[in-house]
Amino acid sequence: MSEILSIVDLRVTHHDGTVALRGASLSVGAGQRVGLIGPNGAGKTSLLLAVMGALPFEGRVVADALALGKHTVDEVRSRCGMIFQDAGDQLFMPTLLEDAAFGPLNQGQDPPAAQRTARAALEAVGLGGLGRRSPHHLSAGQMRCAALATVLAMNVKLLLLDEPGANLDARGRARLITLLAQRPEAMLLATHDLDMVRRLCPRTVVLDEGRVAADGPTAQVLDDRALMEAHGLA
Amino acid sequence: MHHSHIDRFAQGDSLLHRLDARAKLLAVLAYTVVLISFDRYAVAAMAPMAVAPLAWLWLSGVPVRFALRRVLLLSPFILTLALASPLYDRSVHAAALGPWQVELTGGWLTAMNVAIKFALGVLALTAMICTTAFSSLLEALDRLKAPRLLVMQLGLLYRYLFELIDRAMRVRRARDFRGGGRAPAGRRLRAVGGIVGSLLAQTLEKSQRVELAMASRGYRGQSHGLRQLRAGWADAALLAAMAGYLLLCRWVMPAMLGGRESA
Amino acid sequence: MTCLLAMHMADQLLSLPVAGVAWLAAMAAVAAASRLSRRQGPEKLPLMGVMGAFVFAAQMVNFTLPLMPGTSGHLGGAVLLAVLLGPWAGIVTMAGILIVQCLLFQDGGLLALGCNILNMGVAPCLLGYAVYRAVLGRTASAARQYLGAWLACVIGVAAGAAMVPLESAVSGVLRIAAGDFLAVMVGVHLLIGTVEGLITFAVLAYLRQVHPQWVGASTGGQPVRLSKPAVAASLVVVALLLAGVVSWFASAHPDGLEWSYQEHPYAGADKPVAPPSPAVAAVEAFQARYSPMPDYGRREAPLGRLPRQQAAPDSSAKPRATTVVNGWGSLAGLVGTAVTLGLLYAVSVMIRRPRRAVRDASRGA
Repeated sequence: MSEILSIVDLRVTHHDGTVALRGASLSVGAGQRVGLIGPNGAGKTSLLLAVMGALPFEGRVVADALALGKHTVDEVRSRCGMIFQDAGDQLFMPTLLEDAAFGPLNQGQDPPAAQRTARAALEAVGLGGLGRRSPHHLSAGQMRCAALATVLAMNVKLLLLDEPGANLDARGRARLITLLAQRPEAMLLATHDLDMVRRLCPRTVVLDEGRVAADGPTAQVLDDRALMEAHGLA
Repeated sequence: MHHSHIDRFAQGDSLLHRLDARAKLLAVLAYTVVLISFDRYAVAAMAPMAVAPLAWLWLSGVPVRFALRRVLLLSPFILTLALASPLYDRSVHAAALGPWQVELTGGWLTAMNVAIKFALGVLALTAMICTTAFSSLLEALDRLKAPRLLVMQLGLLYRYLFELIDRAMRVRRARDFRGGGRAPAGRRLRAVGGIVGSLLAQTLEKSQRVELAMASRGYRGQSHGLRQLRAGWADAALLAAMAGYLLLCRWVMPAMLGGRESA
Repeated sequence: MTCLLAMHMADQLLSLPVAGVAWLAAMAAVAAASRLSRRQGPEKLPLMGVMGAFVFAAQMVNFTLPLMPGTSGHLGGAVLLAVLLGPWAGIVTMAGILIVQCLLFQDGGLLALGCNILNMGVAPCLLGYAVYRAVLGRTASAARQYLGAWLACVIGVAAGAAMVPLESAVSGVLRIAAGDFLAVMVGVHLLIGTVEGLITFAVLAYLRQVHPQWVGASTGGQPVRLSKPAVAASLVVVALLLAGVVSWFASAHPDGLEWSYQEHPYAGADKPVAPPSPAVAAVEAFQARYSPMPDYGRREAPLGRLPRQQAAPDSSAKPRATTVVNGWGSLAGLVGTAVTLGLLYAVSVMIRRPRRAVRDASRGA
């Protein structure tokens, strides 16, 4: 199976001196769904941001056979898409349709093609008729799906999701899980929602204090009580 | 907040909603220009000008009461200014309606004139904005050759405006709950500075995240927009109708009805 | 939102030529600023958009002015934007704010937008930034930054406010004595500018501590407090400025000016109560002579009074109305309008009913 993401010995330090990652390593195969769990401050978000080229890092990140570096950032970003913790931050155009079309337009598609792609992406997440709506009118669940659409429209191979279930009610969460379960893309799902991980991801990585503490089949990891407690997850 | 009403109305579906935003913008601009061009003592002569905004509101299903409420909300400043003119303009004019004639000072005529112009102007603008999606308006500005940076900035401003307003109102409410409204001036000022400062910090952090989101989707300083506006016969008809109507109100009717001499 | 009206120019105060010229000037300024802003460096677009929203929201935090009970002011924001984003991006951002205010909130008229962009965007950003940089000099120390920001606000805000009466006067529409208007606007806005300066200073202080990179200066991280002597000094300076402005205009009106600041939150919307005086008449004569005469301007000329005939403005006899007014014509116009409106209303109701039925049907389906 080809690897869509390979992270080797990733080290990230923030501006103010805090060390976010101390040599984390993991890999994700094409079409694979991997859960990323860990206590607050473990470095989950920093890991995702590093893959997107938003943070200076040391180590090696290879996305779809492309090593992440200063000159390959744009290309990597068109192969990986990140769903932010606060969906509102990535819905910045006046209407959903324009938001979904933003990526394709920047990828070079002409306006009519971009519009078709955008519409298809909105349909795929169940927001088909809402293209003319403005994000501030949407519910949290709808915004999350819209954010997903904006990334899907770019035809990415890997989805990086940061706390996708946050602020969702039971129905929104269920809908999101169903939606994600149908997607063919590979996924790295950073979350506190262990139930979501159980349902969606066959494999789970535990991150704690900037290092990978465990990496294995989901059931095995989540049922290991001692492990979970040791890393503040139970 | 009123904005949510405007957004809701703008999503409606009527003949007027479907017209090209450029045509509507130009129509409102033409209307406003002609409205302001009425001389300062015209009062009854402006009556026909009320037809257009009211018709616009009725035909598009936007409640007139809503639009009138906006007029009232915004009126105090202009009314105070208008009411100043009777003090300065004491020239005497004769005003007549039907068989009745009365003498008024120019100042009072001007005051009424200003009030009417204000009300009609706001009604017209409200009617237009309630029948036009903001994003369409932005595309209209773009197609009318407004600077691209301005248009994009307007888009972001609109998008995040209400979120920030809500946050600001919540912060202000928190201040008021703790008696901030009645604190001495010094403390109030410092509180204002603090509120503004914390709002600003949140804003700056947000802007960094939005910047990242834009960059993650390939933004490099260029910008491309969707082209959804399509001008058609109906839009040309609107502009022609508006032009004819304005001609009628401003020149034809006063000439026909033999209105006042150079007032 | 109505508290924003202190400095907004209104359509009704403007004559069309002035509005048109202002529009053209504003468009040129914004276009130039956009180009200059892009050229200056990395794209600041997200910052401009979000800061625009911020200034808008911050404008809702209003404060009552300390010296004048019943009036309130608020953050204008142009100088803050210019300091944080640079003058060009500041102008574009302020233009965006004013456009949204005008279109979405109908604050400030469509025709007056040009003037508003000039008064509240271009002038304060350019002037304020120039003052700021001048005070900053080379050292860019904290003290200079604060002083520069404060002074920039006072001067920028007052300058913008001063343009409103000037534009009204040139338009010649609303017959208020320009002198009175100017004195009120400038006086009140010197005070508003001071408070805005203090707020801007507080904001900059906060930023220096938390996000020094935005302020473009390195910081030792020391908290800066609003020192009492500094506040006192700034208030004294403002008081002197105010006194100077007020006394200058007061001397031109021997009857004395009575400022009636009613319990009204709209500063600048004051009704100066003053009997017409030689100074006022002189200003009006000036206006009448120089106000532009467009094609339809004939009807705007003062009733029966050409500039030459304004020899004795306070003449004893009030001129009798010399116009021929057609009362029946006016009535006919009104009746015709009412009938048209009635017909249109009926039509609109008929149009909407079947559509509503369709919509309800489709919703039920």
